[in-house]
Amino acid sequence: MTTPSDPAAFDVERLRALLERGGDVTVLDVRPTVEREEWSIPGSLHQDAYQALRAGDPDALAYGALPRDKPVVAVCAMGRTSTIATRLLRECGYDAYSLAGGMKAWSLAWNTAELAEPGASLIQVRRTGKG
Amino acid sequence: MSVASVSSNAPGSADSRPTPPPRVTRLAIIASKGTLDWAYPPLMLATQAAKKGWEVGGFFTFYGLNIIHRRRGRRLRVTPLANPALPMPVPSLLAALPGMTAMATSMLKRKFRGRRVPTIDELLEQAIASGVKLYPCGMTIDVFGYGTEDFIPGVQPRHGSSDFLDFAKDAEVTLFV
Repeated sequence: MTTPSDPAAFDVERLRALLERGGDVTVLDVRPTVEREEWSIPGSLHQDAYQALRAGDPDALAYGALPRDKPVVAVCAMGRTSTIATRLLRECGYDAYSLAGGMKAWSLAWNTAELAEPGASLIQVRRTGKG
Repeated sequence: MSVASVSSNAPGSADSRPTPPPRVTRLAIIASKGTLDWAYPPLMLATQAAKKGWEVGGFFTFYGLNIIHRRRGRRLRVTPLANPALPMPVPSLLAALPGMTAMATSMLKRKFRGRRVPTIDELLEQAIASGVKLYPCGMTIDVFGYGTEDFIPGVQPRHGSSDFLDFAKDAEVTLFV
């Protein structure tokens, strides 16, 4: 499992801030299709490679293509399988990272939005994963 | 004067002109078939070329439009009927029975998944994100009565065959599937 101190780990807050700015990053969701259908990170790509990655298949991500001109952040449920995906992607030359804590950490990420109200300043606090 | 101090890039010299960027290899694919088995070759080739950094354009014409169709693309099938190459574990005579197309489609999807091949949806998403241009054929759109809203997000505007020929003219690799 990746931790924020791991150089291959990508912190949830960093990803959230990057996506909110429309930053150049590709998010690759490697969870099983049934899990992705429940919820996912908006704009993320998907490849159901979970079983292959867990089985240690070196060809788990051999097919398909990802943009080469920006970092790739692999995402799974808890941040373990995405670490394997990150290693394979790095071997293919991608600037790859693993989302630390996976979708569980993403569901707990908070952000704020300032709303303009007449005569008052309203701060809306949102959980990123819940919208 | 040392040899190293002689600059070949001195202003006014012939070598001072900016070097043009190296030309990227171009792949032009025409996808004309709309069954599950024949949806894979153009998309696999397109994504592998994109992975190499090639410029890729795919022209989806006739039944190939099904691949990028918002609804039809999610229902691509393969039939064992008159398709002797499909490795079905039943005699050819039984291929015409109801349910055999669904069985063949399910079997093929399992085989692809077993070899770590992404689904058609996954390949399309990755292709578009990787800069592959997917052009729907304008004439076929008119013939089948489709609208621009019928295609998946990220597909290019309708394209004429003449326009695609202009793109393919400068391609190092041209393929018809």
